Amino acid sequence: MLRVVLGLACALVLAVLAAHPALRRIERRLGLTVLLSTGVPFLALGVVFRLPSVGVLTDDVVADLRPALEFGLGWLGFVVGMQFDVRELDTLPEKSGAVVLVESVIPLAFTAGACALALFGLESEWSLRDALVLGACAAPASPLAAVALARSSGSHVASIVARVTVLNDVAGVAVLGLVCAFFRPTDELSAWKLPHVAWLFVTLGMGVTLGILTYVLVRSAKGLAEEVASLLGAVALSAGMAGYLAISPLVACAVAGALLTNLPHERMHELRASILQLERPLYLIFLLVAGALWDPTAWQGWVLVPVFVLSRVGAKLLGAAVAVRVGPPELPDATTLGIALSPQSPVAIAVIVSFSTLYGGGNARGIAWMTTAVIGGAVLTELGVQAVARLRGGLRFETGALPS
Amino acid sequence: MIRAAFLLAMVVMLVAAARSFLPQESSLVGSGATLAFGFVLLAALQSGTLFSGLRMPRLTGYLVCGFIAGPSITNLVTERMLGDLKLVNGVAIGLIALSAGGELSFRRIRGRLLAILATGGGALIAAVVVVSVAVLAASPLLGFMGEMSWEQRAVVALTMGVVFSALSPTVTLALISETGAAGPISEMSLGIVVVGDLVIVVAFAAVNALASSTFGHEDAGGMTALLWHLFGSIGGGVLFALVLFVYLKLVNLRVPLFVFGMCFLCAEAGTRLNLDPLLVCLTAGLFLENLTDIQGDKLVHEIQPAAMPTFAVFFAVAGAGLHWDVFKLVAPAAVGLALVRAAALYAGGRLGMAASRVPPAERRWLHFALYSQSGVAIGLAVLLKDRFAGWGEPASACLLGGVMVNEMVGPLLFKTALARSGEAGRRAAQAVAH
Repeated sequence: MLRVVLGLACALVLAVLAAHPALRRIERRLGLTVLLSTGVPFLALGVVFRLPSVGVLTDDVVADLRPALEFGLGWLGFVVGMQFDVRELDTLPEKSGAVVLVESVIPLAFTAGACALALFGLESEWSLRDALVLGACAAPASPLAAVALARSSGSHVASIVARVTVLNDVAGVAVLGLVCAFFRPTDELSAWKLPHVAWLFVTLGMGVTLGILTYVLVRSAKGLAEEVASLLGAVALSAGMAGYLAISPLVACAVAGALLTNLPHERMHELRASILQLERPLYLIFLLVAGALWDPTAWQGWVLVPVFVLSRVGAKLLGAAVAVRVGPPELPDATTLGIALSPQSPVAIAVIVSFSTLYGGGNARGIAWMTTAVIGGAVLTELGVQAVARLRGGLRFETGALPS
Repeated sequence: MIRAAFLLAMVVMLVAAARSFLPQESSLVGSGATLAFGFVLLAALQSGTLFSGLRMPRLTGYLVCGFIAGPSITNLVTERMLGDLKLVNGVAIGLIALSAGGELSFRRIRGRLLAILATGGGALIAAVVVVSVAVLAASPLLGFMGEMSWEQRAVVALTMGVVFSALSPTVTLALISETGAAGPISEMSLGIVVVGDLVIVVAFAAVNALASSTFGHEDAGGMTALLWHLFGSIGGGVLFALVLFVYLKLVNLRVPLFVFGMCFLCAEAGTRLNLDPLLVCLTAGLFLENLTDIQGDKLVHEIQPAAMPTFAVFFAVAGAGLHWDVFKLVAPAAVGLALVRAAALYAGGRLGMAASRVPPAERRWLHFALYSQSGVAIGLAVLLKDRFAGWGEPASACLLGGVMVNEMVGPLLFKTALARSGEAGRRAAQAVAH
């Protein structure tokens, strides 16, 4: 019992240290994303704490922390959705939409295809659902891309690429939403029997309703305390409702967040700042629980890692080549753009964790492999890209201001 | 108010729709708790606004909202969801207790210490004695005591008297915070209820031992556990305070989040190490405020944005935990007990105030802080049920019925007292003056 308390105390201290500005300065100096600097250690901590011999994150503690996982997914969903500000996107140069499209669709299709083949080789019972979700994890690109391009190509290009990465995140979340609607988790208990397409409407309708509710709540709040309370309640309600209906909280909350950010509100910047302020600590707690629920012991998952990484990075480079042809003229050369867009966004991990919490009861073995592929892939990609960027020159991931 | 009613209706409809997805009795680990947390928080906030518009305490709105949404009435928040919210509730108790301790400066109330001790002591002694005697006198009418000897009845009556005399630091702090009250009545009220509850917890350890020996329970371990519960919690509170002290001195960043994490840890430690999160955090707050150079009220100010959601969730969950079906069975006994307790607290409190020469203007309103009950009384009543098979359950039902009455009526009276005494809203005025 004492071990549980001490372990949790240790996690709390590490979370505090991980959020310390000094560590952020080191991150910036080394050009690391939050995923590599603190995310992976927290995931590892979750895995280690879950080991029966360590016995910190026992079944009871994980059950206690499960709401934090759902809440964290909801919060991240709001963060993703709130970046989808149509007014800002309208300022993008012409043909930028094509860049978003090719940098989302090509990695998605290539990775889904390659991983489907690999899954088929590892286990003949592969499914389109699993391949699509791996594809959805391939689309999001880290905001570090904008930092990397800011020095070599200027702030205008960096701003275009920053918005491309935001929309890549949105694309990944959207595909997860489609998967949740068309490949419903087993719900024999449920009282609702709806056709698949109806679930798509339920997802969108729920997101929109919750977005409106959040907007009215926030608008009618008197003072910061009530605003924070309303926001916490709205995120929890949205995440809880989505989870209750076996819809991804990430998706429902992203829809709500997108609606919220596009409605007029004079204090929208402060609201966004409030949401972003809690993003990192919540992300770390989320990763701790995700680590506890992850089983990295199966070798098949590690076999899937290089397939995922190579197909994804290859597709990002190919996407960049196409983007340079069809996109705005300001874009840098294809290789530079491709390398910059290769590091994986933390949203990819949120997508796979959300998927595994919804579908973990079914083909749990295969889902554990997929989780390993995405988490391992994120680390491997970032290390590889950093090394290539240093060898090749031209791109500098270090000493920039890290968005989020 | 119309907007609050509209939002409340919207939240209720959304949750009712979501709940229709699964059969009534089933819930999902994680999602169920998150949904319940979001619903309870939003619905309680809107109910609080509605009640505030009716010039009633927000806190009563939170309680009524929880009661109506809870398993007894509409079952929007099921028994299982309530169980899943236990940890959230533990964190809320921790935050409230830390704030209560942090607000209580012995330096500031040094001049009133005698009045606090005399008023609190008088009220508690009177309540314990009078409630115990009343229960003993009514014992022939109470079915569960029918077969007992008079000695056993006396012990049961004393145990019930101690439990039912518990006060409520959470309600007091919540109302002081809600009304922005400042002044002698607010300070003395907080002092009385904090010290009073510490005394009640110690007294419960003693009567528990007495009851165990009277009813021939092999409860040596139980006594040790209670002592550990008490002194371990105080020790844990000192440790918590030291960690917080070091953090504030060396890091001092994202303080609310760190405090929240520490309260989570206290709630987990409470469950696993048999400690009382309320006592741990109360001790921590008192320690920081009175034994370090960190000003507790500044810490309280830092975590102030978390106060509203904390109070809303805590009291709504408390409301949801009230059992109407049990109350209906014990209503006459519960109402009778509540009236006897109130009379005893009033008489004892007035006697203590007279003895310690509390100014008449304060005497008039101070006793209103004594009638509310919540967490500690409920916790001890549940403990009684768990420890004493046979009479524990019906005794606990009577006590919980009485707590329900005090929980609903007490806050109304105290808010009125703060408003009438002129202390409500004085905190903002003082801040402007400074």
